[in-house]
Amino acid sequence: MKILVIDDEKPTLSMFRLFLTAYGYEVHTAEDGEKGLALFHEIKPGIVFTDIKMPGLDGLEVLRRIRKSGIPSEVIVITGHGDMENAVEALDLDASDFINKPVERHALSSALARAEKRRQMQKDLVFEFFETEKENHHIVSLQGKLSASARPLFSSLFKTLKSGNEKEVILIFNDGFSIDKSGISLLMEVIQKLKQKNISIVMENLSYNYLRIFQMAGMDKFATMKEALAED
Amino acid sequence: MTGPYGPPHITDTLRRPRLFSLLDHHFHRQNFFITGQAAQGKSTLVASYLHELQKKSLWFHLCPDDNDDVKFFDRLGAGIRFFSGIMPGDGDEIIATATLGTEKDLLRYIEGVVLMLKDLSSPLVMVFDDAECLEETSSGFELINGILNTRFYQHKFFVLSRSILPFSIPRLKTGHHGFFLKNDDLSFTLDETKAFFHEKYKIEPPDIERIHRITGGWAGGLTLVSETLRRSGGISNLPERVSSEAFEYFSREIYKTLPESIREFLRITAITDIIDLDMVTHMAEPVDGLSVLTTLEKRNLFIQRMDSDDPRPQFRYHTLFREFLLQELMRIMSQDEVKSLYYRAGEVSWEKKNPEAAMNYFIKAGAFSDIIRILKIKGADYMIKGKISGLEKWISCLPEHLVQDDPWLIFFMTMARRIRGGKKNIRDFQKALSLFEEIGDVRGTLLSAGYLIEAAVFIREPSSVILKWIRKAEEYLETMPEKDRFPWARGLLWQQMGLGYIAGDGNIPKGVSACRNAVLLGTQINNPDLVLHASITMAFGYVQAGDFVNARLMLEKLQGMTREGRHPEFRALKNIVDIDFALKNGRFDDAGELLIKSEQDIEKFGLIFLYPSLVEAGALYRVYTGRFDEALRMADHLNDFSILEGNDFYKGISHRIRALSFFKQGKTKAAVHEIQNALDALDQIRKGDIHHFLTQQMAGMIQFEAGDYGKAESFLRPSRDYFEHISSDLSCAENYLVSGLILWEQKDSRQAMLFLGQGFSMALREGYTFFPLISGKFLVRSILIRMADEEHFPEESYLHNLSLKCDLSVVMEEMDRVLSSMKSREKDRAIENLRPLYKLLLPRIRIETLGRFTILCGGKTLDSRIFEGARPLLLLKSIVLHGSRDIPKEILMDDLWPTADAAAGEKNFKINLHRLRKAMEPVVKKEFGYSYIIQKAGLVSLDPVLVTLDVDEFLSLIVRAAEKEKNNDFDTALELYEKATGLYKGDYFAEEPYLEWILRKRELLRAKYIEVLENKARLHEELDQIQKAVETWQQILDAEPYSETAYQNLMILYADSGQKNKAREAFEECLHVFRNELGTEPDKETFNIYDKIQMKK
Repeated sequence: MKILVIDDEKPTLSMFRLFLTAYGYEVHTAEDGEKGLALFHEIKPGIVFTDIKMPGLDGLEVLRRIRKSGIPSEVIVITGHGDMENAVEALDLDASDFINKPVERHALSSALARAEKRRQMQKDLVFEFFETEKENHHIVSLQGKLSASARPLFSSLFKTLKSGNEKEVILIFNDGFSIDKSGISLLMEVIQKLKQKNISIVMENLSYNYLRIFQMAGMDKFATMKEALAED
Repeated sequence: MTGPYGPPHITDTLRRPRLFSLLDHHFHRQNFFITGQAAQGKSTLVASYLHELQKKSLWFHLCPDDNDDVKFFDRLGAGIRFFSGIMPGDGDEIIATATLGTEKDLLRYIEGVVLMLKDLSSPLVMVFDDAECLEETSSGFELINGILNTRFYQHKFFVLSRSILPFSIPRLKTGHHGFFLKNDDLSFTLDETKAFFHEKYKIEPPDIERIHRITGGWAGGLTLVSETLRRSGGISNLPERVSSEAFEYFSREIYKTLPESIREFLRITAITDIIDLDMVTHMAEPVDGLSVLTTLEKRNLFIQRMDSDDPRPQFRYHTLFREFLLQELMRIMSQDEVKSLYYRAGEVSWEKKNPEAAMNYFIKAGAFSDIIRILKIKGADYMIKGKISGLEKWISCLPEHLVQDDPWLIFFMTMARRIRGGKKNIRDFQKALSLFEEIGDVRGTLLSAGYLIEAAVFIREPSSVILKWIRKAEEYLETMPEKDRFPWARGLLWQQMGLGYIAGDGNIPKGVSACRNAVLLGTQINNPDLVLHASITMAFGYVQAGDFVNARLMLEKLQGMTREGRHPEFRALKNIVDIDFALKNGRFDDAGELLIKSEQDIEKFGLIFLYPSLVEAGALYRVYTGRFDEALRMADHLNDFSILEGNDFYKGISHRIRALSFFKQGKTKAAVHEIQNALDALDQIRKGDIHHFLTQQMAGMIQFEAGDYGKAESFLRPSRDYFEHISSDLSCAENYLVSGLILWEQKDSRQAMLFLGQGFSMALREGYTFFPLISGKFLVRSILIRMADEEHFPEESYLHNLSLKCDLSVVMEEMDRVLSSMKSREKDRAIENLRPLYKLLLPRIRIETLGRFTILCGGKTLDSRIFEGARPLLLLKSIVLHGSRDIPKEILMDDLWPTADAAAGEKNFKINLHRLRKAMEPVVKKEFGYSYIIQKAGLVSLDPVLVTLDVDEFLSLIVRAAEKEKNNDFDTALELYEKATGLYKGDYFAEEPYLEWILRKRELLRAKYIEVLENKARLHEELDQIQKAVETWQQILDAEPYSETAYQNLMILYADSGQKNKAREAFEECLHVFRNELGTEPDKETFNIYDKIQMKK
C-alpha cells in the first residue's frame, strides 16, 4: 500500500520512510504541504501522514484539501506533544487519526492498524449504537461518526437504562467509530450523567490515540479506559 | 557481436537513409526509444544501422521471464561479461541480498548492473528488443528504468517496443539524453516503398503507389505484399487495407500452401518462446526443423534466427505469426491435447536440466504436482543462491489448498516477499515452523526459525518477542538429532540469531558470537553468501558497540568479499567507521563528505539498523565543528528514533551527545545533568561495555570541569582500567591526561607527571592531534604542565606543534594559571622550560634594511610613531649594523652619543632601549621578560628566532648560490641569485644618507649586489640565455650607471644576437655618459669591441 508522509523536517521524513518501508509499505515523502498535495494527486496513497505545523500550507489545510479532492484516503495528523487543540480540530476535519510527536511505536502501529481497517469499511457511517444486557452490565457498541447531529440519538441511551438496576455500562468503540470536537463534548456529557447515576463506566476497544485524547479531555476521571489490543 | 547476444539475423535488409540520417544526427544521445506497431521494422532498422556503424552491441530479446529483476540481472550480467570476454561462471557478478536493509533488492541489482557497465573499458550498445513484453509494474521494467536513468557517457541503449513505455525519466533528462523514433517515423515513405520493390519485381509506379496507400507504409504489409507477388505475380487480389489486422489473412494464405507435416511442426513449436532444435526433436514428428525454419527465415516470413554462428541455432517466431499458430493449435487440438503437449515440453525441459522452463510449461499443463516436486527439489538450492524471486510466481499458480498445507510452499512463498512482507511474514513463517515441527522436518524448522527472527527484527518487534524466538532457535540447535547435518541451515540460523541479538535484543557479545559460528559454518561449506551476511552482521555489531577497532578489522576482511565494496551494507558500515576515524583525527571535511555518502546509501537501501549510528556520527560531527544547535537537534532526533523504536539505548546516546555539546560550550551545569541521564540510560545496557565506559569517561571529564575532582576520578578510574584492557589508545590517552590534571590540581605533581607523560607518549606514538573529549583549555594546561616539568623530553617537539594549533589566548591564559600556582624555585625552572614555547607563540619580527627601513611584526608594518622619537630606531639600526648578536652596549652608545660622557651615555642607552623594547613588544609576560631584544652582561642581541633581517637572508642566499654554481647546479644558482637580488630593494639604510657609521657597510653591500648581478648575468650568458643576460646587465646599469663592463657585455650580447643597431646604441650611450657625466673617455677595450662590431657583417 502507498503511504505519503508530509513533514518539513527532513530527519523526520527519513525516519518515517525507514520505519514504514520496514512495515512493508511503499513510502513517498514530501517536504511541504504544496509538494505533498501534488504528490497526493499523483499517487493517490491509501494513507497520508501529515505534520500539523509546517510553513506554507499547514497540516490542517492539507487535510481540508485532501477531503475536498474526494480521493479516498486515511489521513493521520501528526501533532505536537499534548497539542489537544489541533488534534481535535483535525478530527473535526475528518482526520482518520492523530499521533503525537515524538511518535511512539505503539501509537504508530495503532494508527496504521486503524487506518487499514477503516479503508476496508464503508465510508461516512452514520452514528448508531447497539445495546445488549449481560448480568447487570449494559453493553453499548458505538459506530459511525459521533458529532453534534447524533445528540438526539445518543441521548436516547438513557431511556433504555432501567434506573437503579445497571451497575456498569460498557461502551465498546467499534473500529468504524470516529468522533469530532462536538462528539467529544457529547460523550463527556453522557459519561458524566451516567456517573451521576452512580453507574460505573468502562470504555473498551479504544484506539491508542483516542484513548490519549479522551484522557486529555478528562474522561478518565469518570470511566475506566481499555485500549484495543494492537496486532503487534 | 555474435553469439547469444547478437542482433537478429536479417536476410533481406533495406538500407533506410532517412532514418539512418536521423539516428546519426542524434547519436550523441544515450537512450533511443524505437516505437512502432508489430512488424514495423524496428529490429531490422536498428540491427542494420548498428551493423553499418560497426558498433559492438548486446542484443536482448526480452521475454516475460525478464519481468523478474533477478533473472533479468543474470541475463544482463552474463551479456556484459560475454562482451568483456569473461567466460560464463568465471567471476560471475553476485548481488548479495539485504542483510540490514528493508528496501527492495531491486536497487542493488540496478546498482550492480550500472557498476558493471561503468567498469567497461570500451563503448557498448545495448538493445532491449520486444520491450513491450515487460509489465510496467515489474521489477524487470524498473531495472531497465534504472539503467536508462543513469548517465554513462560512452554507452548507448536502444529500447524497441510496440508502444511507448512509461519509463520515469525526467522530461529534461529525456530531452537531453533520449531520442524517439515513433510509428509514423518508421513507416515507409513512397520513395522507400519504391526502393523496397525496385530490385525484386518489375512493378509500375501506379502499382507502387497503390501498395503504399493500402499498406500505409507498414513494413510487415510490404513483406506480405512482396510474398503475394512472389507467389501470384500480381497485386490485383490485394485488399483495400493491409494493416496488422490483416495479418491473419496473409498468414493463413502462406500457411495453407505448406505441407501438413510442416504445418504441424510450426503449430507445435509455437508453444515455446524460443525454438530450440534439440527440444523440437523430442516433441515433433521427424521433420527437418532446421531446414524448415531456415527456408522460412530466408523468405523473411516472420521467423528470426537468434544466433547466426551456431550450427544448431535457435529461432523465434514473430509475435503475430506465433499468435496465429497458437490459435491454429487450439483450433485443431483439444484442450487436453494442448495441455499434454505443454506437459511434454515440461518433461523435456526438466530432462534438459532447465527446471524453470519446466515449471513454466507445467503451469500451462496444469501439472501442479510436478511443479511442487521441482520446487521441493530445487527450492532450497534457489535460496542458497539467493534466487528466490521466481518462487513466488510458481507458487502463486498453485491452488491455494495445496500451498496452505505444505510447510515448504508456505516457507518459499514467504521467502519470496522476505524484505517487504511486514507482519504477514511473521504469521506465515510461524505457520511454516509449526508445520515443520509437526512433521519433524529439521531443515525446515531451522530455516523458518531463522527467517522468523529476521522478520521480527525487520518490523522492530519488541526485544522480548525476538528473544523468545532466539531461545527457541537455540533449543532447536541443541536438541536436533544429528548435529552435523544441515550446515547451511544451521549457519543461516546462527546468522539470524546474531542479527536478532544485535539489532533486536541489543546483546552485542552474544550476537557477535552467533555470527562467528555462522562464519565458521559458511567457510566450512564454502558458502560465500552466508559468510558475507554473517560478517556484515558482525561488523554491524561492532559499530553498534562503538568498537571501531574490531569493526575496522572486520571491514578489512569484508572488502574482498564485496567485490571492492559493491554492497550497500558494507559501504554504509565502512563509511560510519571511517567517519568515526576522521572525527577522532580532527579531519572534519572528510567526515562531512562521508556523512553525505553514508546517508545516501542508508536512505536508498532502507538500512534502518544503521540509521541511528549515522545520526550519532552526524551529531558528533556538528559538536566538533562548533555547530552546537544543529547537534542538539540531531540528538533530539535520535531520541525521537529511540521512542519510535521503543528502545532506550539511543535515548542514552542522545543524552551523551547533548552532554558533550554542553561540555564543549562550557555549559557545565547542563552537561552534568545530561551526562547523568546518559549514565542512567546506559548503565545496564547489553550492547557491550564500550558505551557504558565512554559515558563514564565523559562524566569524569565533565565533573573535572565542574571542579568535583573526587567524583571525576571515581568515573575515570574504572573507564581507564577498561580502556587499558581493550587497548583503546585514544580513550586511554585522554583518560591519562585528565587524570594527570586532576592529580596536579590535587598537588600530587609526581603522579600527575606520570599520567601526563603516559598520555602524551601514547598520543605521540599514535600521532593524535585531536582529542575529542578534552576541551582546548585542558589540553593546553596538560601540555604546559608537562613542558614546565622537564627541559628536554621525547614528546617536546610534538607538544610544541600541538600547542601551536591551540588558541593563542587560551595558551597565554593557561600559562599564567600554571605558573601562578607554582612555588618560586619550581616556577623558575618552569619559566626556563616554557620559554622556548613562549617564544614560539610570539609573532615574528622582520626587519628590512635594504631600501626603505621597515619593521614588520606578524606580517604587519609597525608605525614609526610608536618608537617615541628617532633615537630608539637609531639604536635598533645600530644593533642591526653591528650584526645583531652580542654587541657591547658601549659600541652602540658610541654610535648614538659619541660626545656624551659614560654616565649620560648609559642613561640615554637605557631609556632608548626601554622605548625600543616596549614599541616592539607592547604586551610582555613579566615572568619571561622582553623577548625580542636581549641584554645580557652588557651585550645586546636580537633574538635570532624571533627577529629576522633581510640583509642576513641576502648574504646567505649569495653564499648558497655561489655553492650551487660551483657544483654546476646552474638552475638553482640562478634561482637563488634572483631571490637575493630581489631582496635588494635599495641601498642599506637608504633613508640615513649622512650617518657615517653606516656608510662603510652600505658600500660593502652595494658592491656585493653588483657582484651578484654580474655573476648572474655571466651565468645567463654561459647558458645562452641572452635576453635574461641583457636584462641583468641593464639592472647593473640601473644600480651603477658607470659600469663599463656592463656596457661592454651589452654591446657584445646585442652584436652576437644580430642586433647591431642596439649594440651601437649601447656604445653611444656609454660614450655619452663617460664624456658628458664623467668628462672622460671609455677604455680602449670598449672602442675595440665597438670596432669589431662595426666590421662584422
